[in-house]
Amino acid sequence: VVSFAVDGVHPHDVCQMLDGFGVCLRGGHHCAQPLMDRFDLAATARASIALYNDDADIDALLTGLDATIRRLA
Amino acid sequence: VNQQLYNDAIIALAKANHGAGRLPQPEVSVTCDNPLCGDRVTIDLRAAAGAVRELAQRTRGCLLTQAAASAIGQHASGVTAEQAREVTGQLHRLLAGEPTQTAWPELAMFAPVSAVKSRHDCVLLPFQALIEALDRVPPR
Repeated sequence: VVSFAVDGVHPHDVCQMLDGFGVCLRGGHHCAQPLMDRFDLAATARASIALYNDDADIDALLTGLDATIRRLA
Repeated sequence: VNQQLYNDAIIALAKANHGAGRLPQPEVSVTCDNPLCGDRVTIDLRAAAGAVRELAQRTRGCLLTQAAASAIGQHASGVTAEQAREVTGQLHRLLAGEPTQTAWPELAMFAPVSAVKSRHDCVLLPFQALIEALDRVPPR
């Protein structure tokens, strides 16, 4: 499980953009508001990798992230 | 959908961030949260004759929330609570997918958001804060 933030792009926009690449992430505070406050974040994006994911899924995640940063950051 | 949702006009409006900041001595200050996502909008205003005389917005939210708050920063001067409700009603109809003329032309750029119901509240949160702020202006 990897939670991350992209400078200048809100996690919900990250998740929405990645949805267009067939990648489903969770965006939000993940019920961890004190931790978000500690890092001065409203929210993070969270990728959860499971047994059924393969290299193509990871490539889609990275391609989508690259497109998101180019478009919105 | 995403190409339309994150169109150039919405991105530009969000980045313009009209009215960003705080007023040093606001007559009214209102903060609205979306508890599901953590987005937060604070509207500070001073009013005259029941209308916005000066307004600042501080927004911590997604691009759609930022763009909506920026539209308010651009257009709110002189707006009354009744007018704010009217504009918000137009926005509701736009988000419901109804062809709608909006008093603030920029709001038409939010029409593609109608296809993504989970993002409607992102656009509406700053308008909720504006209406609450105007409702709290003390009568003179």
